[in-house]
Amino acid sequence: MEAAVARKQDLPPPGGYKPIPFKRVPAKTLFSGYTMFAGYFGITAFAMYLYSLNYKQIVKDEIEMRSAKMAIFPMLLAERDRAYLKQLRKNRDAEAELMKDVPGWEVGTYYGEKIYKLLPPDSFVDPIFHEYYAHSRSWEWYQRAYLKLRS
Amino acid sequence: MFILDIYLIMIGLLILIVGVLIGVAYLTLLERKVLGYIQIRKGPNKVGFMGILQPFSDGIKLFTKEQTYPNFSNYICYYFSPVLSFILCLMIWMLIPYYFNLVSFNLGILFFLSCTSLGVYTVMVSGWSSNSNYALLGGLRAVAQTISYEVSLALILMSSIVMIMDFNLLMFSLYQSMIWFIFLMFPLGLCWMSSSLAETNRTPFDFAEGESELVSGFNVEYSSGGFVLIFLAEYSSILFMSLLFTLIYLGGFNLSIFFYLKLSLISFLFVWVRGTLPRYRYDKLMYLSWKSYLPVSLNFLLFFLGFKVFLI
Amino acid sequence: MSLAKLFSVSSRVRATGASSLVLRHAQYSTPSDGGKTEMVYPPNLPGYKYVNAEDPNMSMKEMSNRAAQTLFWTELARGFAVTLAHIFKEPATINYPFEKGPLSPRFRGEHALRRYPSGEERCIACKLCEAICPAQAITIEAEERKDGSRRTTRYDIDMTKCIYCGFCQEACPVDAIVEGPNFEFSTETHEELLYNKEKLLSNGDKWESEIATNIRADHLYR
Repeated sequence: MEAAVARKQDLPPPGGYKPIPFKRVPAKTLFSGYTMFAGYFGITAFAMYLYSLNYKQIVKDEIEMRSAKMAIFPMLLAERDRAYLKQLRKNRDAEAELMKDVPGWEVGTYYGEKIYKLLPPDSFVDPIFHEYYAHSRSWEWYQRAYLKLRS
Repeated sequence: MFILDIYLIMIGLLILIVGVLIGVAYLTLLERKVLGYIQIRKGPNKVGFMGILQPFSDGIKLFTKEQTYPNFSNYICYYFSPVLSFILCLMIWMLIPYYFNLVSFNLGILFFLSCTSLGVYTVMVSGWSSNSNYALLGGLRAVAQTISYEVSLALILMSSIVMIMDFNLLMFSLYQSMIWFIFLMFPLGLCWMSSSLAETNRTPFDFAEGESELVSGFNVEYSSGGFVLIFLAEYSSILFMSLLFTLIYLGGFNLSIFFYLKLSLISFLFVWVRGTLPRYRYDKLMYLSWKSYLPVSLNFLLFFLGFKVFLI
Repeated sequence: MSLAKLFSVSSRVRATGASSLVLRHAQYSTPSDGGKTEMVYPPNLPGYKYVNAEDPNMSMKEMSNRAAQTLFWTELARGFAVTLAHIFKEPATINYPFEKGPLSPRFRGEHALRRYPSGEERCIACKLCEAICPAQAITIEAEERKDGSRRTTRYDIDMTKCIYCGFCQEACPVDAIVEGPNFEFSTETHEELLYNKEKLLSNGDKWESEIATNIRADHLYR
């Protein structure tokens, strides 16, 4: 069993082993402290400059938006008033339609009597909430009364 | 407001919740695979193609496990604290600053601070109501750590709010169109990252889990149902913290895919940190919060207040 | 003037910061010292190596290096870079049922009873393996066979008691009991793992060629 097998022995490589480095190799410092601080201050300063540019642009945008809102505000008020008056006319017509068979009823009065006794007869009085929404779906007054955009 | 708006908001929130849950599921897969590759091994890769279906098989396993009920625990608190923590962590996702079909909070940051503060209660009650020594210890340590880091979190947030002059999260994208805030306030970004690691009880601040010390910390008595909820709550808060970091420091939300890529990168950073750093000793953790981060954040707050008032 | 010099750190530090002498700022020095520092260990004598914690270097450059490390977390960044590099290294996982790890010829797995090339079983019931087994997993009963040779009637190895140490294969004088290279022999019942008297052990016939190769590769060291 011994002689037939040519033995392969585990020897060191020819010329011996190379020396093993055992001294400490400290990590390579890429940036020194001064470099890092200089970089930090430089980048922060540049970023502050860009931020200030951006802020000025934002202020300009806000001013523009605010001026646009102020410019169209009268038109919005006018539209709202028109819609309000339209609804009041619809209410008056609905009242006329409903009460046309009732004897003695005149639209806008209580059987001919004025409602507001001390005011001049053709003065305009805003209707109360329930009167305004009297002939609409309940969803309309629910929306106006309870659904608010809370922000 | 039309009723259709309300319907659309609800559908939007539903899609958001589903998205968040899927994101959380895949965050667990990301964590396992990234931790595996950091440790020169592969993560789970057998279930789907490269492990894509692993979270679903995890979910099925957890839901079909037996729900244990410790005999001497305070059952109502024990049962409802994971539910409450999950509710909070989903509620906080309402803050995502989407431009349409979701709500836009004008005081979003205050809402965020309130929700994270309430999250402290759930951890404490989970630990205490389990009626086990280790759970109690884990819960107490987690609570002390969380409330300490909330302070510095709020102050760092104040610095960035001073730069924005608004509490709304949408404004962050407006103010970062020329330069990201991370270049403006780099040390604060690092402190924010570290404080959010501590808030979500992640390594190197993971005392609540304390995996090699307390077995599982405050959730040791929880099996399938409660554990799933606590686990999901923790990972969804990780995703939310990455969202906040991306919003505040890396350019806000400008409706492009890069926002989501940056968010994924920060979540990857959370996992990367877990694979790299060992756990802090508890007193060093407290030292870091009260004696390092608090002075730093206060001083930077003063600096940015001065910068905003006097320079800009 | 001497008191001021004693209590002012900067003058003491600057005076000695450049050299690498190890100093201890004298805590209990009297004012008459005039601010002199006490040199504790001169490190440049042959045979002396200072092993205590040294005071940190207080030159401006070194202080700013330490400050930058604290503020910008440089050593953490190095650690992260190492970890990131590991992500892109090739993972060491093998795909088990389809790829298996390498085994040496000395691997100790499932036991087998060998035979001579003529077909005669090797085991001569010397009971050395039963005597040396540390877990007493082997049970042997022997009897004279009909043709007069010494053979076993009962040779059981309880694979659940066995600790797979290989002492039995070292003890056997005729190389009858060996530990083959098979490790995938799990069963679903306990009883199947109590290998009985020579039935499964002589299914070392199944593994004979591989066992013979391993023995030939290893025989110089046995």
